[in-house]
Amino acid sequence: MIRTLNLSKHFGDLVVLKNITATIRKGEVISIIGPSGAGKSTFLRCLNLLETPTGGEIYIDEIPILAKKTDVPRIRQRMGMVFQSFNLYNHLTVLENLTIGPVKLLGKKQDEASKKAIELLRMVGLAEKAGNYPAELSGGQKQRAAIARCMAMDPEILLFDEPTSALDPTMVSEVLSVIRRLSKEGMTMVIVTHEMEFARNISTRIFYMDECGIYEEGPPA
Amino acid sequence: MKLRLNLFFLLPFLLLGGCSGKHEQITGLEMLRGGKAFAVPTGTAADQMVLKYFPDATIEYYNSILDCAIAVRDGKADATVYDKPVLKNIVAKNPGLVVLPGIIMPDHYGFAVSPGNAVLKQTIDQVVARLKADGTYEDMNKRWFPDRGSPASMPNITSDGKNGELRFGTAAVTEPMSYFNAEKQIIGFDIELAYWVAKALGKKLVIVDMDFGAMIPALISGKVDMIGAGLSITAERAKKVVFSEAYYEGGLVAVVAGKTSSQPKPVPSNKSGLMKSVGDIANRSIGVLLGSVHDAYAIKNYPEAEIKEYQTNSDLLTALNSDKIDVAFLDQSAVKPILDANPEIGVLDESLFTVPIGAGFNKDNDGLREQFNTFLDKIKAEGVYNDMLKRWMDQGLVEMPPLKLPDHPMGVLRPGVVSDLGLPWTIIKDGQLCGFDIELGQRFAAFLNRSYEPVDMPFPSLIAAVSTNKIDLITSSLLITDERKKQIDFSNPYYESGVSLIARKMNLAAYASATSSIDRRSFMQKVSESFYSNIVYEKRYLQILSGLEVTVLITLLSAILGTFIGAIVCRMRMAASRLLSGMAKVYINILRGTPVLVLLMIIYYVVFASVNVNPVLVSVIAFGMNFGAYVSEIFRTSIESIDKGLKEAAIAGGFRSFQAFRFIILPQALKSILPVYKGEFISMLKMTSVVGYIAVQDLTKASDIIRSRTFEAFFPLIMVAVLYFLMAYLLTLLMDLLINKSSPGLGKKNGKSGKEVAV
Repeated sequence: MIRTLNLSKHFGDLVVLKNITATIRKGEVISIIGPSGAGKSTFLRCLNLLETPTGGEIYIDEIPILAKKTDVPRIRQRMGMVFQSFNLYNHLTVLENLTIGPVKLLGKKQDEASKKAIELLRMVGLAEKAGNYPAELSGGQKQRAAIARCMAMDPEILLFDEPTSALDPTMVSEVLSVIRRLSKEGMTMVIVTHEMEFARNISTRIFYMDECGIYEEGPPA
Repeated sequence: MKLRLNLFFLLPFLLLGGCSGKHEQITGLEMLRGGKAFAVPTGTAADQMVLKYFPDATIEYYNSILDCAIAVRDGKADATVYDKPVLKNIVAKNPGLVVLPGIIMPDHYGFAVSPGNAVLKQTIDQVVARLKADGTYEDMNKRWFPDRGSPASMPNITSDGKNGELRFGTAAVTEPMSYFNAEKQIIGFDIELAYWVAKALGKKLVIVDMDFGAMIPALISGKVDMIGAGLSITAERAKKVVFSEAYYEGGLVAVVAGKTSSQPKPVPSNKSGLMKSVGDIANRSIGVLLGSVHDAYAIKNYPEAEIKEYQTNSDLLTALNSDKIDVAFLDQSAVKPILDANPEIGVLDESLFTVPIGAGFNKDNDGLREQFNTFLDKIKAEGVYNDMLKRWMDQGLVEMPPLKLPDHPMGVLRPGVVSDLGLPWTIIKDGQLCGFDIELGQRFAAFLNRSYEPVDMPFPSLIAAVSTNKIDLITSSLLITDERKKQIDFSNPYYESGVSLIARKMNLAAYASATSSIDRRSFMQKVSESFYSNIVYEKRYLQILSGLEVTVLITLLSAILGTFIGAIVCRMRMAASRLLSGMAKVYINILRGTPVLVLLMIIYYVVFASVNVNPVLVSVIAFGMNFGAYVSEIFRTSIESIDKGLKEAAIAGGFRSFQAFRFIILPQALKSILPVYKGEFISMLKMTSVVGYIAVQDLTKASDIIRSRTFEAFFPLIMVAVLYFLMAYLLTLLMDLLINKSSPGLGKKNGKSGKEVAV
C-alpha cells in the first residue's frame, strides 16, 4: 500500500530523514514513536508530500508519487490526514467541513454528501453539532470532527500526526476510541503518537524512530 | 438641537450678508495706504503685489477672488487687488463695488504657442491687428466688459475646418476671458479671439479645458497648439513658450466698496407703481432672451431700462417670479402655455411687433430650400397648415397627429432641432420629440419621401451645424433676421411670431385689485432662493448630475481595474520567485509613494503625450493603478493572517492549490479584507475630486463651474459635500449587498471570535 525507498529529507544542512526504506501493507495500523526531533512527523508528512523529500522514492499502491506526471492531489484524496491542531475550516459549519471535499473534489451531490456526513458525525458522536461552527466545539470534538472530515472522502489510508497532543487529558480518550473503532473496521492507518499504551493496544506494528531513521520495527509487545 | 439648526441656516447669511461698511469712501489708489485691510486670493501673487505697493497693508486670505470681492462689499476688508478684466466683471455684476481709477501694475495678455510655431504666432498677431482695424476689437471689448451686468454671448464665428483642427488650451474659470456659460459651453473674450484665429487659418477650433497650471505643459507636450486664458506675458513664461503680441492691456487694479457710477440695481417691487401699458416699461428691469430679436429691440427702444438677458424662456419666467425682472419679452406663441402653468403671470401687451419665422438652409443648398417653399405652398393650399396652427397654437394640444411616413424612403432628412425649446415648437414628451416644428419637419420628410432623423443640438450650434452640412435644415422656430441671413438662407416665412410682454400680475395695473402682495421674504424663502439659483436655475443640477455621473464612473471603473491589478500584484508579491515579488514590491512602493495627482498628470502629459486620449480613461488608469497598489497589500496581509494549517489541511485533503485558495483561504481572508477595502474605496472616491486637473468635469469641477457663476459658496459646496457623502454611503451599501450575495456566510454571526465552548 505504502512503500518508501531510501527516503531522505534535509532542511539545508539539517538532516531529518536518512534513507528510510519501509513498507506498509493494506489494513495495517502502524504507530510511529520516538523522541522529539526524530523525524516522525516529517516522515508522515512526506507520505502525502506536505513535505517534499530531498531524495528517495515513495509508492502509494505502486504509483510513484514523486514522478512528475503523477496527479498528487488525486492521490491525496485517497489518504486523509488528521493534524495535531485539527485545522477545521473556521468559516464553515461542522457539516460543511465534511461535505466541501466530497462536493468540490469528488463531484458528489450536496444532499448525498450531507447524508453521509450526518452518518459519519453520528459515528463520532457529533450529530447534534452538525450546524455549529468549529469555534463552538471543544478540542476533543474538533478532533473527532476532523477525523470525520477525512472519512467523508472515503480514504484508503489515514495519517494521524499526533492527534491527541493538543488535547486536555480528559478529552484524549474520546478521540482514541474513535481511532480504535476505525482500526477495527480495517482502515490502513499510520499514527504518530506519544500514547504508548494506546500504540501497543491498537497497532499491528510499531516503528521506533531515532537519529533520522527507523531504529527498530516490530509488533507491539 | 433647534439652535444648531438655526445657526446652520443662518450661516450663509452671516457669511454673505455681513454688515454694511461704516468706512469712509475710498476714491483713489493713494487712499489705500496707511494700514488698510486687503483681501487677496490664496495661491496667487496678489499678496506680494499688495505688499510691494502698500507695504503697511494687512493681508487677509480668501479662497477665490469672488470671496475677496464679497468680503470687500460686506466691509470685512477695505480693498482687494486683482487682474483688471476679472475685477471689472465682478464689479459689473455685483452692485456695491467700484474699481478705483488707475492701474497699480500694468500687465499684458497674450496667447502662447510652442517654440517653433512662429507661423501660428504671426497669424495671431495679424488677426488681432485686423480685428483692431475693422472695429471688431472695440465691439468685443464692449460685449465682454460691459459696465453693468453679465457679458454678452459669443458671436457665431464659423470656419469650414478644411485645414484641420486648431487645439486651443484654456482654463475656463475666468469670466469674462474664458468661462462656462449656462449651456456648459466655454465662452469668453479669449475664446472669441481663438475662434477668429481658427477662422483665419481655415481650421476647426477645438477647445480643451484644463487647469491653469497645466496649460504650459500641455502646450509644450503638444497636446494643444495654442493657449490663452487671461495669460499674462512674463519673461519667465517666455523662456518656455512663444507669446503673441499683447492683445489686451490689463493690469492690477483695486476694488473697494462704494456706490457705483451708474444707477444701483433697482429693487424690483411695487415702488415705481403698477404697469398699465407698454409705455410704462421704459425705466424698468426688462428680461429678454439672450441674442434674440427681442434683445436687440429692447436695447434700441428702451435705453433707460435695465435689460437682463436670459438663456431660455423658463429662465425668463423664473426671473419674473423671483422679481429679478419686472417684465419679460416673449414669443407670442409661447405665452399661452406659460399662462396656463403660471397663474401669477399676466400679459402686459399681446403683440408689440412681429417677426417672421422660417427654416434655415445652407447657402449652397438652394434645391432643398426651393422644395421646402413648394412644400409650404402645398400644405397651405391643402389646409393642413391651418389645421397645424389650430392644434398647436390656438388649442394648445400637445399631441402629434398620426402621420403617414414613407414606406420606402429614398434617403434621409436631418433637421436640426432644439429639444428643450418649449411649447408649441419643440419639446420632449414621454421621451419623444413633439411640437409644431417636429410635425412640420416630419411632413416635409414625407413630402420628400425621405426618412426623418432629427438632430438635437443646443440653439447656438444650429447655424454652425447647417453651415457645415451636419444637418440639412433648421426647423426650430428660427426668427428671420438680417444678421442670420449673412450666414444662412431662409425659406419663406412659415409663421409670423408676435412679441408679447408678460409680467407678474401684482405688478400689472390690470390685475391690481387682485393682489396686495408684500415682499417680506422669510429666511426659509431666502434659503430656498439660494438653493434655486445654485441648483435649479439654468438647470444647474444637470451640471451637478453629469459631474456626479463622471465621478461615479471613474470611481467604479477604477475600483474594478484596481482590484484586478491588486490581485495580480498580490499574487506576484507572494510568489516564490524573487524576481516577481521584487517587481511587485517596487510597484507597490512607487505607487504608494507618489501622489495620485502627480501620477494622473504623468499619465496624461507624459505617457500619452502625443496621443489624443480620453481624460476619463486616463483618470481610471491612474486611480486604478494607485488603488491596485493599496489593495494588493490589503489582500496580502489578510491572506497571510490566515492560519497556515488550514491551507495544509485543504492540500492534504486533496484540494489543488487554487481550489484551496478559492474555497478555504479566500472566504476567510475576505472577512478581514472587506472593512479595509471599503475604507480604501471611499478614500479613492474622494481622491477623484482632483481629476479636474486633466479636463474631466467631475462633481467637484461642476461645483466650481457653478460657483464661478453664482458668486456663492455655500450651496454648491454643501451640496457637493452631501453628494460625496451619499455616494460613499450608497456605494458601500451596494458593495455589502454584492458581497452578501456572492458569499452569504460571511456576514453571519457565527462565533468566529475563537471563543471555546466547553461541553
